Amino acid sequence: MLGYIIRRLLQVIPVLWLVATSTFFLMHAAPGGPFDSERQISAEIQANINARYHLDEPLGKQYLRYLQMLASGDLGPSFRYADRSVNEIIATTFPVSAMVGLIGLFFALSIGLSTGIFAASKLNSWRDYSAMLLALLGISLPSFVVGPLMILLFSIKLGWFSVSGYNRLQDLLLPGLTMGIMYAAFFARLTRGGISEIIRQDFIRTAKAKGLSNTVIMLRHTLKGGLLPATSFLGPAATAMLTGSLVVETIFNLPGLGRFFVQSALNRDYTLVMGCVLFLAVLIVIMNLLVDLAYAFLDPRVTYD
Amino acid sequence: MIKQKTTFVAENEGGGPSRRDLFADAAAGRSLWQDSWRRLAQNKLAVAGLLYLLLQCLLALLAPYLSSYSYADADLLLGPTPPGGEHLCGTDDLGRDILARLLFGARISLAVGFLATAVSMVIGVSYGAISGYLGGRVDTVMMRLLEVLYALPFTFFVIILMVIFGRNIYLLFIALGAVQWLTMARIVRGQVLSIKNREYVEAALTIGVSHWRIIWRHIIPNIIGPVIVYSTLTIPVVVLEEAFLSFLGLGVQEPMASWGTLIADGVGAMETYPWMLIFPSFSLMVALLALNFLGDGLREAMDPQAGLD
Amino acid sequence: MPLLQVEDLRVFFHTYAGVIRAVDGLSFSLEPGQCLGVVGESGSGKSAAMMALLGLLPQPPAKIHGGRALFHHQDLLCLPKRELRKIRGNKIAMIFQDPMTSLNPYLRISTQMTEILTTHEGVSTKNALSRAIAALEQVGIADASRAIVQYPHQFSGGMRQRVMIAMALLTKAEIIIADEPTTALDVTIQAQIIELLRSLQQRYGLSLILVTHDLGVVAGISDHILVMYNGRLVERGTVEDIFYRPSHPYTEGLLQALPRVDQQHQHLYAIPGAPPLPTAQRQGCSFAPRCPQVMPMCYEGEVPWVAINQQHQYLCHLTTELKEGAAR
Repeated sequence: MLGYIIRRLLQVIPVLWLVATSTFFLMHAAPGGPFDSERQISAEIQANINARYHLDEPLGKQYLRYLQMLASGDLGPSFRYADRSVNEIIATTFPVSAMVGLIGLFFALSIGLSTGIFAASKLNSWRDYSAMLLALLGISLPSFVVGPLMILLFSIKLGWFSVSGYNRLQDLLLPGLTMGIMYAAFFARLTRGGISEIIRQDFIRTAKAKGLSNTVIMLRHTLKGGLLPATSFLGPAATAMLTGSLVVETIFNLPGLGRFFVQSALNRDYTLVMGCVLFLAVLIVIMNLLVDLAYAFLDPRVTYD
Repeated sequence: MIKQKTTFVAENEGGGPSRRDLFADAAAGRSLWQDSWRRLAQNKLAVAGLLYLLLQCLLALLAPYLSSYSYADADLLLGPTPPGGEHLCGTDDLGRDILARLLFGARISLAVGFLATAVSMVIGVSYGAISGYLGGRVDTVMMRLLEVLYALPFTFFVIILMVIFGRNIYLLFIALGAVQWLTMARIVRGQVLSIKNREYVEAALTIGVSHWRIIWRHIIPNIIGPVIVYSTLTIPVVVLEEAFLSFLGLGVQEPMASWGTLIADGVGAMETYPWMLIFPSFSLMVALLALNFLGDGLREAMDPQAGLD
Repeated sequence: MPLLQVEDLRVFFHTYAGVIRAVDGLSFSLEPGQCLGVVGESGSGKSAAMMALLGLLPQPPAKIHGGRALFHHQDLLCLPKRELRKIRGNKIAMIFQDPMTSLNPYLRISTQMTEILTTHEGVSTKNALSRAIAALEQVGIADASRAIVQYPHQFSGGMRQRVMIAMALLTKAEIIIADEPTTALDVTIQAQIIELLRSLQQRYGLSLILVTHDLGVVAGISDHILVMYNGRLVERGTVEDIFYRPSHPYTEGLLQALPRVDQQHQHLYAIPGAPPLPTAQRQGCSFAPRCPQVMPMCYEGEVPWVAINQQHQYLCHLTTELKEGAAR
């Protein structure tokens, strides 16, 4: 088990290398650099800046320098935010994104699982069908549609929340809900599907023949196996929450990692862009590992070695 | 001894999909395709979705003939007008007809949806088929690579690509398609692997049937179903992704419009001109819903045994 | 007084393809301490009948169209769900065909065993656990206290079926219904499981209903045998009646189809034809198309019961006199 975890964590290395290399050369292949869309500056200053960030060196050397820096855990200085390092920027912006993501995941799981279990316990009834219709509606509701509509309704018309910005914790409620809604729908479908699959199994008939009540059968015999599909979706969902932060943070004007990423990409802030992508890649690998471990916990037949 | 022929009459034919139904169909000698088609036709939501999509495609194709305005005709003197009268869905802050922009926007959004899905299908099917059919060490290496690729934040790559190479519509097709093929590859590979190991294929190989004939006769017919179903489910994902990029200002370029850019414009003006947000949001939502209805219906029709997901 | 008395049980499945008369007028009774064998090929309705008794058939598509099943003066078929649950797994326990799929793969054996006792007798988990271990020892599982904390996939097929039997023993059930308990097992394991059931039955005086398609399985253990074909009872009698004096042509066919050690160089007999489609309309005797002694009247009307004696009866137009006539 421990060996497996270590092996999976080592997988981070090729992922990081692949990401670092591809983004590095992509960014440098692009026409235009981080400092040229600015106001006119003299050639001398330009040369100074380039020297400071080693942009005057050959590409290969820059690449090696970058890898070396990475190996020591340093993501380098930001090109745009002159006196801040990428590590600093990520450290201050990520907590906001993580908070929104966690709230989103909470909504997604609580709404999704309860809807799915409800539908599955009334399989093929009108209640099941309407819950699943609702879920189908939900997966057709992207965050950049839900978000503005929610602001329009709850913030502008009803005045319950701030229209934008992040001053209090409850300002993250609406962004979280915005992000969670679509994934709640996915979780509802997966849960319903997983449970209805289990309900058909022979061992549920055995449980009935033992004289157990429907509640015990659902909670003890059905749920553990029925939640497996939803569990394996947790990894992709968590990743999507991070990606979703790009839009939600833009809509709600939050100082999170996603908004910084979009800004830095538009600004060609090489180091910041690469830092964000690398950071996310590591997060994804870790989350996928956690999901796989949870899977083994739920299904005793799955073992890792 | 007397022999008498008896006939067994099956009571009442037809009805919705069920296991018993499959049994009866098999007895009646219907092909699997006809069978799937019949089940799809019975799914009202899926049929409604299909009809809506056909209508939407038709409207998008005929956009230049349907609207007396072009998507780019600005009328600054007119400015934003609420829906009704001359402009059915109103005009935006530059006085452009929103209905015209929606119709032309649908062209971009749907074209991206179909073409990017086609790109993902080509890459995914070839990758999966090669990996599954060759098997052995090649398969192991290819699947390891796939695992690594799964861990990459792809949307971020597309964003970087769009930033670097400019907002080019063809790049958008390829970039989005290149991102969505991973699951397709996995599905095809699994399917190919399981068919390849069936006894009848092994039997065919031992009596000297050629590889191409096996691929043509056994493998391809068996992967068409899953490929169609998964492709149908990919289209809404890609449409969504395009809208997402356009929303961030990384999709198509002004004055061209897609549903995503229209929603982005709408968000900027939602406090004063809410119709600019509501109509494009609604168009995108209904199209996604129709695609999901159809995809779900297809999946159930082709694989009635499988659950929802 | 019989422990269980079933009268004219009718279970139909309503499907899109038509109505399937899975069980069509089944009557039998089970005396205390007796073993009743129910024999028939797959689709003959034997399993459906047993499941219907315990309310285990999904309704719809299944529907019980009539009959009574008296157990301690209660009709199982019209008991409220709550009352029926008190009987299931407690007074009447069931063992299923495939031990691979009948145990929950996600739960430990201990959970799956103790929950029966905590549900029906309200005993503590600790108490239930020690009784579960004792039950496992009774069915011959070595090192039971270690085995009980394992998961089903860590057991072999035969061991799993032993676990299922141990579950049935836990509450001292008055009736144990074993539905094809050996079908999914290897031949050598089959013999062991049957031997186990027989010894348990003798030791504890269990009342057992053994459902199987294999006459060989019921031969050594049953007192009475019911033979079913296409949803109907076609012959009933004691073991000796069925094996030495089979009277229905279908039973005769089944016996001829058994491999025998005392006759060499013989092709194994097979009953010609195939069972009718489950949705087929019923007219006359449903075995007629496959029957070697078929007569025109077999295709029409109701088929009468022929009673040889109080215990041995069969459903056929061929009366004993007709048979003797044909033999002469």
